[in-house]
Amino acid sequence: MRFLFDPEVNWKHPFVLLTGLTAVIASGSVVLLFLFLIVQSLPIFSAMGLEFFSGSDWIPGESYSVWPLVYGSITVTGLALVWVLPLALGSALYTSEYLPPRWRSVVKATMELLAGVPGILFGLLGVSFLAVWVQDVFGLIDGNTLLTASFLLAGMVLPTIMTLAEDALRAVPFEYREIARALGLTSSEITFGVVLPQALPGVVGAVLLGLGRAMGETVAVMLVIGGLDRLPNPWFDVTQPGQSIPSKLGREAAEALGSGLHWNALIASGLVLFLMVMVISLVGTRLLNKGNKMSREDCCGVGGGNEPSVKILVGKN
Amino acid sequence: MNSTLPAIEVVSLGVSYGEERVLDSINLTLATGSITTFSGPSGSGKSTLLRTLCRMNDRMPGFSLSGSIKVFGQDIYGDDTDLCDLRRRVGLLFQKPCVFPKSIYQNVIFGLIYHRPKERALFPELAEQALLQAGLWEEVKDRLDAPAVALSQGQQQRLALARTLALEPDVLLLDEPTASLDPESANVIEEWALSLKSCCTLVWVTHDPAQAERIGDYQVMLSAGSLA
Ligand SMILES: Nc1ncnc2c1ncn2[C@@H]1O[C@H](COP(=O)(O)OP(=O)(O)OP(=O)(O)O)[C@@H](O)[C@H]1O
Ligand SMILES: [Mg+2]
Repeated sequence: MRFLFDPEVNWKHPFVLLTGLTAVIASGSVVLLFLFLIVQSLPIFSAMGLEFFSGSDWIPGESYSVWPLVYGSITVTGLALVWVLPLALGSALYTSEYLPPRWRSVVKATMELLAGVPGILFGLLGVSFLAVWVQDVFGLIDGNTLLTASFLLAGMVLPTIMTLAEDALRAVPFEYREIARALGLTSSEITFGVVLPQALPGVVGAVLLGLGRAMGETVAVMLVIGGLDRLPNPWFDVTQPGQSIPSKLGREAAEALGSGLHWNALIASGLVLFLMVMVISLVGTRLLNKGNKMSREDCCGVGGGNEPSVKILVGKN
Repeated sequence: MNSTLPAIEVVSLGVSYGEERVLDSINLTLATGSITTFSGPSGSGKSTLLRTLCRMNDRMPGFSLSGSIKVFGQDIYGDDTDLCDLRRRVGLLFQKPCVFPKSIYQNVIFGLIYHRPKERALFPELAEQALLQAGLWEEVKDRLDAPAVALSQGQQQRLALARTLALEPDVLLLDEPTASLDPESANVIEEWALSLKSCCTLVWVTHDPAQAERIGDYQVMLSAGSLA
């Protein structure tokens, strides 16, 4: 028990007791949430079995399958990733390596501000412009599609990924760049041969954290995804409406409360989402910390106070 | 290389960072194949002068320069200078030893990968030579694939030296290369420096007057940014 109870701490001191209690409440609430999700989703698992994951329909009162929702969530986030990656990494590289310091702080401040904009505001923009634009460009009857949602998500997580990736690049010690320059490497050789490989774990971590945020986004996606609980036909046609897990939950939770299996099915979908986001965020945070820590420790004698802190921006929604 | 040309010729050099004048009216001629030592109190501008000789200060905020520096007759602050080639020919060893988080071998050949990409077959041999010259070969020859960060500070400093030597520079700028070494390793490097005079011009920053006496053909004293 020594690892739990430090013998040097006076456990009877009210301050210690109080903070200990808050710690228990804080970590306990996560456990409680998890238990709640599991207990409440048990009925649907016993009613549907594996059909819950493999079926293709969600018809309240008849059959519930989370698969179209999982498909929608993965497609929308995956596509968003494809759109956002070149933009976010390109701008992070440029900002970190080539932009004069004065401008860099302007860009960073803007990006951090943007990263905090509530999803609903993006959603409003999406409804008023993006959906209309997608409808026109692709000649659709309805502009609310999986594709639209992916564009919107890309815009939403761009600042998060960009600013975290930029932090990871900046965390590569200045000395490495200096040595490489003194050895006669060009700026681009330094960027791609020294800085980027070194920052890679952190950059991947940044991308994963952005991905976790995208996957959990509710309101904005709900407004533009179309809300159809079916796989598109053919399955790869993303210009059709679809559904993601959080959007489904946001739409139906209020009406389904206390309605038996329908409610249990929603909770079970929430559990699936929870697990997916948890894995992504855990891996992302680990990589981010590892990347920044590695950069700091490996360069001998370096360790100033100016490493960027790891900011975790997921889980806002 | 024309041996009658001085390796480096500095004419009324002045360097400022913003308002702060760091170097003032420096005139220096470094004969090819000589060793020149720079000494002077901390903050007198020794490192700044070294860095200026291979244009490593260009990107420092507020850096400005007056006067001229010629390397083998060519004005290095002229418009047509190939910076990468200049920095290969004028190698700089930093005051603070620092190696890449790669293997020992990868560190030594790091510059070669970019400057002689087509001669990979020669790298093992070049790496051995460079490590021998830096006096590190005996200690690391059996563990070239070990991570370089596991080496001691002094070994890391010699590894950094080998990394620069591998590029076969014409001029070598050494910023207190023996400051973190034991007397024995310092000796190895001093002997190496003396043996290298035929093909390389050296600048050596040291706080140790005895060392300056031992190895310097010319001794330069800096104080508060000027030659004393
Ligand atoms: N990037 C910079 N910006 C502003 N001032 C600088 C910069 N680099 C050096 N200086 C200033 O230039 C002066 C000379 O510094 P330099 O590092 O050349 O001294 P040094 O002789 O090498 O000292 P030491 O023996 O401690 O290494 C110092 O006053 C320092 O504050
Ligand atoms: Mg110095």
